[in-house]
Amino acid sequence: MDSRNSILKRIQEAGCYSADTSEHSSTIDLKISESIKSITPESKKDLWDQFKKEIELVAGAFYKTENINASAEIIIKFLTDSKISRVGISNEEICLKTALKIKEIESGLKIISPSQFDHAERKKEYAVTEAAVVNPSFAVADTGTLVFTLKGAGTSYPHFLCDNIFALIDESRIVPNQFELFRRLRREEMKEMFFVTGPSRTADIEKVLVLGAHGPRNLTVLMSENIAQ
Amino acid sequence: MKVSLFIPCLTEHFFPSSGISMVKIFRHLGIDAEYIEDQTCCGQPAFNSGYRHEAVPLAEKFIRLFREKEYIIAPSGSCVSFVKNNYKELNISDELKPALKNISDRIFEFTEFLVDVMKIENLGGEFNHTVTYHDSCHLLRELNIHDQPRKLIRAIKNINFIEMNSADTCCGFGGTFSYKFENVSVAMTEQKCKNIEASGAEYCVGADSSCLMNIEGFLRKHKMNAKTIHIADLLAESLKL
Amino acid sequence: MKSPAPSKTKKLIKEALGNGALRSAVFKATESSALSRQKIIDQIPYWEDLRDKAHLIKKDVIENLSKYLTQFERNCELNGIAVHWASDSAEAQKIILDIAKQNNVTKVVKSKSLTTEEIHLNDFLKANDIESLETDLGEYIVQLNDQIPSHLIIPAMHLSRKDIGELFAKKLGVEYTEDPAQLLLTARKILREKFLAAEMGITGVNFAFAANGSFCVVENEANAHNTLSLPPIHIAVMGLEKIIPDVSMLPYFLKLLPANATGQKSSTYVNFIGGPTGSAYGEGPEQIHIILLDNGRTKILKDPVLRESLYCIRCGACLNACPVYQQIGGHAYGWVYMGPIGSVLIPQFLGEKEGRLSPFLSSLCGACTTVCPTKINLPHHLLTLRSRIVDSGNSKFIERNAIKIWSKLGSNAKVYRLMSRIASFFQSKLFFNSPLRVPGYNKERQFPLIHSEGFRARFLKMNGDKKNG
Repeated sequence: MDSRNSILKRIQEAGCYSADTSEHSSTIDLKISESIKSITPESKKDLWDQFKKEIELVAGAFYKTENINASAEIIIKFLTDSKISRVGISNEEICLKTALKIKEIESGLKIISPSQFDHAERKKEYAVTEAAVVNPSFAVADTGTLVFTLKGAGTSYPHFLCDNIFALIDESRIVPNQFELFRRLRREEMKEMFFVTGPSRTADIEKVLVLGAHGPRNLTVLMSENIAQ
Repeated sequence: MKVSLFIPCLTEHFFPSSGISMVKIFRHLGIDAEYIEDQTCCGQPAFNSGYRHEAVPLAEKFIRLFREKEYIIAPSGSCVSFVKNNYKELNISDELKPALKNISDRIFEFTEFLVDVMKIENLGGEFNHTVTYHDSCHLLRELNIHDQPRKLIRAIKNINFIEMNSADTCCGFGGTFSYKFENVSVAMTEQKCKNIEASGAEYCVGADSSCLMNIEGFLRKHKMNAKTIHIADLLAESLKL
Repeated sequence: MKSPAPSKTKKLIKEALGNGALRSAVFKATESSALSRQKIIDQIPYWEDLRDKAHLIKKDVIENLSKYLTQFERNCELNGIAVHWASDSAEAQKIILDIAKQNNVTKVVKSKSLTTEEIHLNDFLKANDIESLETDLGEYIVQLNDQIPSHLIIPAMHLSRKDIGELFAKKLGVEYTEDPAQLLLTARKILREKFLAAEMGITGVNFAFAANGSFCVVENEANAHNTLSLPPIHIAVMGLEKIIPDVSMLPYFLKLLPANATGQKSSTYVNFIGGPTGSAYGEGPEQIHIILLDNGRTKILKDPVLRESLYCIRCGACLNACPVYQQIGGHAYGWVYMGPIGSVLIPQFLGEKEGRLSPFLSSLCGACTTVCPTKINLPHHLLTLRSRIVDSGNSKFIERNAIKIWSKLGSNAKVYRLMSRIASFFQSKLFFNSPLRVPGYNKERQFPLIHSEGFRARFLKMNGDKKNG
């Protein structure tokens, strides 16, 4: 008998029972959702305030900007101050638009986009790129989390290999918590995605927190009221 | 009202005064306390060491002796919790099983009985010392007794009650654990005693003789200043009974 | 010393207790972890409900394991993930080696996975001339130090920054520093190259989703993401119990796990994997393999009560809460799983003989169960395992007989009290009323005096007084 069948046979022989826990489970769900409701802000503005507070607690930065141009300026200032000459972007349209805007102002900058390179080349390119402009699908207010679907981003290399991440997001993309997030995501999207809550970190040495472990050191969220304009 | 005393081994052989103090307090409150002379050990040491069969005769004896009693009160949370929560794990004879339910509902730790059943929080005594309280594990986590002893202590006149750090951390006794892993047990006790000393308390109050025996043993051996006192003794002394 | 046996725990404890630096490192780290955990929980009013919910979800999974596993398998295959089943370490090792050989793999990067520690994967790959490098900072440190993790979440908890500075200087030839940021930088530089060059990435699995055929890996350092996204082959090794019915149930666990594990509201990264070369641009691994590992889990399943130990999500909170762990650290337990959950798993995984001491290495204080995110009744299971060890003849002869005799005598109140009187007599005549010496107890603690009368005598006297008076 192969391992699969022998494992399944052993499980059967263990004599488990099909416990129906659904009733008890839904009572608890009700309690949880009522409790969540009582602590969840109602307005978009309050949700973003909560998001800002949470992301700052995990060493992220948050700015509200007028539009892409304003966001681009913040990014350019950072790049010039830090003498960074390469900017990676992920695949969303908004990232490309912003990149073009940045290049328009600072023509010396090199833009690294996923479509320029094949798989093997791409990781090498992003690995030597110090900043990236990305576009999360959602922001989760109660934990300060950004949600990226791989389908939308087309790549995760800039998000993880570049040191300084700028996340552009539209005001409409806020959700209060992950429970709501999963109601908003499509089944297909849930398969391949990643959540980001602050820059990478470790506390493996004497519990001392150090930012920038094997991924980004900085994470800046730039939220605009109407990002498409 | 009449209560039946459940006197654990350590109280019987080493610290009878805490049992006697409990009786004095009951008398002070006009509660009749009876003592069933035939009682012995509840069986916890055997059970906790893995010897369930050996615990059965002791448990059965206990159930037979206490099955009809209205209130069963002990000056020890650990033994109460054992009877209440773990007798059902034992292979006791079927005829005694219904009685077990009755016992589980009617067995109380001393401070739990005073505060929750008798609704007494202030006994009116006086004690001119600084004390802290050690939460015994089974009292706290198996019987949920946290506030009851603190209420009784705080109500004592002139007492200076201080919470020590990690009051709810185990003192390291753990029954047979204390000799099976003596060095680990002692390391835990040392930590507990350091916390007691650091609190500045003259007395560490407890509601379980086993923890107090362990803590007191370390304090004396290491010539530390603090002393331990069972809450029944503290209350009796504060009332000058 | 790699994976010492839990039957040697007494020796290991002695070493640990004699190591002041280790003790202070572990004590501080567990204390601060417990504090930061509490800070987060204070902000979640529905924390207890979350625990109840997680318990029920895990119960459903464990009681219906074959249904969920086969559903998971089917959906993984639809997503292009290859599913392998391994009954034990040897089978899991062989599956991994075969995949490596077929693809000419010589360099592997790994992210933290206790399940792969369980099957001694690093040593095995090394023996087969495959470099297998841990990439989580803590794991990297312990691997460099030729050790296994001493904590489920903080692998190098037992080492001080000084130890780590010296280790890096010695093994990596860098200048000595004890600055954690500098030490991290050294590891980061080395590992960045390794990530890019590796031909295979091996990770664990935090949660696998039966209805979705996908799984997730939770982390803070971004090393797990790099491990699963950069090399062309990804192998994920998971214990059979890691499954949950649907990805939409994850939010409960993503509140419980980070709070309990690291005192965070959310872990920095949660990576969801649902198939190879996922994006339109062909990014990510070309092959994804998942190994469903039994290795004793179906044995645990046999006991209707103890199977609750399979609800564990490896958050490590029971370690931080445990006053025994706080004193001795993780290596003293002698296996990859340590602390209260380790003491419960050891005899079940390794048998009653090898694990005969583990369930006794606990004062049964119960602090563990109050923090457990899936409400595993750890002290209860420790007690059950103690009796299993006794019943299987793995307790000491002297103890067995002493308890038998004591139980017999203790059933008779007269004999029971007589024993105490005899002891009291010896105490007064032979020891001149100084406390009895109790070997194994009173090295550091004075044993109390046996009372000259006892409660019964005093009570009767008192009652007599009352009646007479």
